[in-house]
Amino acid sequence: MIRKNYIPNQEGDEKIMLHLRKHWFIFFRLYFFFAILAAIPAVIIFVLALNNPVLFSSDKMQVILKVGIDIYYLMILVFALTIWTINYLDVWTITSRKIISRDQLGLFNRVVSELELNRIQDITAEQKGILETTLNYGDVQIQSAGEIERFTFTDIPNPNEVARMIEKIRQDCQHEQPENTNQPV
Amino acid sequence: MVITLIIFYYIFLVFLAFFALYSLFNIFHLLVFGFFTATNVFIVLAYLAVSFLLISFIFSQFNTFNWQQPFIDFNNFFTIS
Repeated sequence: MIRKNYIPNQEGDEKIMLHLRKHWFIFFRLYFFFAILAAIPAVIIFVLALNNPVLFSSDKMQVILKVGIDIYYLMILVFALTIWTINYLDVWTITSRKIISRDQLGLFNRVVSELELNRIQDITAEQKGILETTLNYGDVQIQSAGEIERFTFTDIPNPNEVARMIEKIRQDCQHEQPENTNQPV
Repeated sequence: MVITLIIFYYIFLVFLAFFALYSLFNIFHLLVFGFFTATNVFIVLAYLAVSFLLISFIFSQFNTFNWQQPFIDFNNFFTIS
């Protein structure tokens, strides 16, 4: 596992200012869906047992049903972990010099990008909808002058505060840089 | 020729292999790319514990089944017994 204070390509006195992950509600929403999926076999069996009890009197039918249900729950479990892995491994790290975006697009599709703070051109915070506004989560989009023109932090908590923080860190970074350059004689 | 219920046991083993493989991929990603946090460690350990309990329960159920019961008997004009 990676240490939380690890910075790839660390420069001098660079330090981590913030780690960002998706808002807890995103995980809750996904796992609420899985909870419904997990309840489906129980509901179906209950309804079938009420309307057609003869169906469950056969030993063979019981074996087939139990094997089917066991397979169903194993698949739910592994897909639940896959969804967790894909969402939990989306991490955005803001250091005093750059932004690191670690994006798990799929189980075998991972993109890690870095953006120097002095290449940021524009920062936008977006919150759309009742849930995002009420629970205070949303997107932060960063327009850059780099190879990747736009970084997006999706579904993060306190997007407005994060956008302000990035702007402040960027300004602090820009103020420090003239002090570090050697002036020509 | 008689196909017994054991065929469902073999079908289950195929799905179990798929489950094991994908679980391995997921845990690999969490261990290699995840941060060393209490949440990450808890999720990995909890998943392994739940998987172990679920599979143990399933196989304890399977021990009570009579897998040699005929499912399809081709000798009787393709009737399912």
